[in-house]
Amino acid sequence: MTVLTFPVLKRGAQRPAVRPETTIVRLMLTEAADWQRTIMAECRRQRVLTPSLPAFLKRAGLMDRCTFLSSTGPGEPLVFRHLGVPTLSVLGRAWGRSVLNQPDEADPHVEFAHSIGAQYAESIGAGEAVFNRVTVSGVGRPFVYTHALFGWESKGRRAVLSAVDVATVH
Amino acid sequence: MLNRPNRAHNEAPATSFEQQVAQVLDSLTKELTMSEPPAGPLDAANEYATRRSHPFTTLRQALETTTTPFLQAVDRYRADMQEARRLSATEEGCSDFVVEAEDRFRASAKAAIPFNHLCEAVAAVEWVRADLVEGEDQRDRAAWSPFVLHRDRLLGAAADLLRNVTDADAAVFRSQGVTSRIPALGLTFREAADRVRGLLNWNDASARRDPNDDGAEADQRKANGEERGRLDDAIFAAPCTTIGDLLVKVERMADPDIGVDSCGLSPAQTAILRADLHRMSIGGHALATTTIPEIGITSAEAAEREEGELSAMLCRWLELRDIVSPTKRQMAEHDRLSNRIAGYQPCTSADALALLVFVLTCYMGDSIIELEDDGSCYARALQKGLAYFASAGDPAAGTLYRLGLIGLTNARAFWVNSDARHEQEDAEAFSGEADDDAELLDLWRQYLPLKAEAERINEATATGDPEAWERAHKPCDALEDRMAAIPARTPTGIAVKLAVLWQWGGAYVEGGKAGNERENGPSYLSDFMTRWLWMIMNEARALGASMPLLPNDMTTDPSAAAAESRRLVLRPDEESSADPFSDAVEDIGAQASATLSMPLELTDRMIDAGASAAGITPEQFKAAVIAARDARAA
Repeated sequence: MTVLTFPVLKRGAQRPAVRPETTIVRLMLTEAADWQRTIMAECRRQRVLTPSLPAFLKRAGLMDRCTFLSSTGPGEPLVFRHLGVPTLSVLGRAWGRSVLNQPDEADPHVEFAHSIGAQYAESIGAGEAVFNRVTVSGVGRPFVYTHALFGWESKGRRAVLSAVDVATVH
Repeated sequence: MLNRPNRAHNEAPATSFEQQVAQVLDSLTKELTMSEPPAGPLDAANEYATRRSHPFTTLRQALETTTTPFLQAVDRYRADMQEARRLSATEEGCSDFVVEAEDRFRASAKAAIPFNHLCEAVAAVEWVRADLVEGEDQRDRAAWSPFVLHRDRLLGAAADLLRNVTDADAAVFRSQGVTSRIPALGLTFREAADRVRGLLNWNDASARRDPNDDGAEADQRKANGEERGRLDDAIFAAPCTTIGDLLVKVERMADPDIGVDSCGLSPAQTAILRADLHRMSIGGHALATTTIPEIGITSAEAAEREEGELSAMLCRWLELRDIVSPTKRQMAEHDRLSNRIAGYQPCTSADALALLVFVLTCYMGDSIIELEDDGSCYARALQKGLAYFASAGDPAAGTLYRLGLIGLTNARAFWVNSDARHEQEDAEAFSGEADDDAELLDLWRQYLPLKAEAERINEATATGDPEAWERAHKPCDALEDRMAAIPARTPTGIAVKLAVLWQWGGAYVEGGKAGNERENGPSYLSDFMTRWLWMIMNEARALGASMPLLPNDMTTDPSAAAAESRRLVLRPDEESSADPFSDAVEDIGAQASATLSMPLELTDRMIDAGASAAGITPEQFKAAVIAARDARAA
C-alpha cells in the first residue's frame, strides 16, 4: 500500500510514471543544524553504542527527530527500528507503520531506498559522522532533506542513526 | 442570683452609634454602682459578702489601678485647646499648633488602649458622646474631629473592658451551674438539658419495655424524639452567656449516656458555638490566677509558665483552623499545635477552659480527628472536663474535680505518646517537598544558564583573554558561594549541591573533552566516580522537586532518569548475556510506537498560537507538548 500523496491526481493518472531520482550531495558537518551536530558530537564521544545514547537523546528531547536502523547479524538487512518525525512528516505515518521492523529494502520506494542504503553502509564503515543533502523527486512530492548519519558495528551487527532535517517539500 | 447589668455583647447589636454609646454608658454606670453593697434582701447582701471574699483580680484591678493614660491625654488636649484659643485671638499661626495637639492626642489615646481603669472607659464614652452631640451637624463635626478615627476603637476598648469585667465576674462567682434563659423555650439552658435527658431516659426505658416499632408507646417515643430535637436545636441556637450555658452545650454534645457527638450540629449552630468559645476563652483569661491545687506540676513549674501561653496557642490554633485552603506548612503547624495543646498540663482553670475549648472545637464538624483512633481520648477528656467544670464552683465536689484532671491527664499521655509518631510522619511528609529549599533551587535556576554561558566563553577564549573568562565566571562564583552558604534541607537541596559539583567537576576533571559530559551527562565510558555522582544526583532529584540538572535538560520523568542512571553504574556482567549494543537498539526501538503516534512536529506558528492561547512561553508550550506525548507513550 502506498500512502504517498500525489498532488494532481487526474493529470498524474495520464502521465507516464516518473522514475524516482535521488541526488545526494556530501556536505561538511559544520553546515548541519546545531541539534544534528549535537547528536553527532555525542555519538563520537560515546564511540560505542550503549543505552547511554538513547538516554542522552531522551534527555535532550531529540529522540523523535532520529531515524534508527539496525541489523541482527552479519549479512542481515538493516531494519527500521525507529522513525523520526521529520521522516514521517514527509512519507506519512502509514508508511512508517508499514516499514517499521521491516528491512529497509522492503521500502515500497525501492529505488530511493537503495541509494540511501549506500549512504548507510558508508557511515557504518567509516565510523564517522556523514552529512548529506538529499534531493528526492519522483516519490510523491519532491523534497529536500539533510541527514547526519552515524553508524556502529559490533560482532557483525550494524546500526545507523540518522538525524533527519527536512528542509523543503516542493 | 443577682440582677446583673446588661452586657454589651449579649444584646442584639445596636444599630446606630448613639445607641451603642447609650448602651455602653448604661452598662458602665451600673457596673460602677455595683461596687457598693446593694440595698435589698438579706440573701443578696450575703451574696455580695461571698463575692467580696473571693479573689476579685480583674475587676479589682480595673477599679484600683492608678495609671490613667487616657485621662491624662484628655487633660493635655483640653489644655492645648485652651492655649489654641488664646493664640487664635492674638496671632495667625495657631492652626499648626492645633494640628500638633491633635496628633499628640491621637497618639496618646491610641497608646492608652486597652484601658485598664473603668474611669478611662467612662471617660472615653463621655468623650465620644460629647463629640457626637456638641456639633450641630454631627457628620461634619465627626469628619474633622481628631478623635473620630479612633472613636470606634475607643468604644470597642471600653466595651471590651466591660466585657472582661463582667465575664470575670460571671466566671468566678456565678457561672458554674448557673445558666441563663433561652428566650425561644422560656426555659434555662439547664432546664432544657434536663428535659432532654428526661426524654431520652424515658425513651430508653420504654424501648426496653416495648421494643416494637408499632407498639403502644412507639408514638410517644417518636414524639419525644421530635421534642428532643426541638430542644437541642433551641439550645444550640442560643448564644451562651455564662460558662454554665456552655457546659450545657458540652453536655448535649458529649452526653454522659449516649456518648460523644450525640447530635449533629448545623453550620449555623457551629458558628454560634465557636463564637461562644471565643468569648468564654477571653473571659477565661481573668481566671488565670486561680491556680488549681490538684495538678501534675509543681507550683515552681507553674510559676515559670508564661501567663496565657495555652490561650495564645489556642488562639493561633483556631486561626489556622479557619484558613480555608491551608498550605502544607500551615497544616503541619496546626497538627503540631494540636499535639502541644492536647499535651498541655493545665495548671489554672483558664488552662482547663482552653483545653475544653480545644476538645470541643475538634468536634465541631471537621475531619481533623479520626474518631476510631483518638475519639475515645477526646471523649474522656471532654466528659471529665465537664465534670470538672460542673464541680469547680463547689469545693465539696473535689473528687469529681480530680477525676476531671485524670481525664485530661490521660488525654495528655495519649497525645504525648503519639507526639513522636506525628513528628516522624511530619518529617516523612516533608521529605518530598521543595519548599524548604526553594531558595537553593531558585539560585540553581539562575546559575545553570550563567554557567553554560561562562563555559561557552571559556571555550571561545581558551587561547587568550583571561579577563573575559574572569568576567564571565564572576557571577557564577558569587552564586556558588551563596548556594554553599544555604544548608540543604531536602533531597532537592542535595540535588542542587551535587549538580553544582557536577558542573564544576565536569569542566576540570577530564579536561577539554569532558565538556560534552558536563553538558550531556555521562556514558558507559565515563569513569566510576562520574557515573556514581550522576546516579546520586538523579536519585536526589527524583525524590524532590522537578529541576533541570543540565542545560537543555528536558527530562520529564525524573524517576525514569534515575533508573537509567543506575543502569549506567552497573558493571556489565561478563557471565551474563549483557549486551549494551542490543540494549541500545531495544531502547530506541521501544520509542518507535510513541513517535509514530505523536502529532507531526509542531511548526513555529503552531507553537506561537498554542503558547499565546495558554499565556505561556513557547518553551513552556513545547515542554507541555512533550510531557503530554510522553505520558501518552507511557
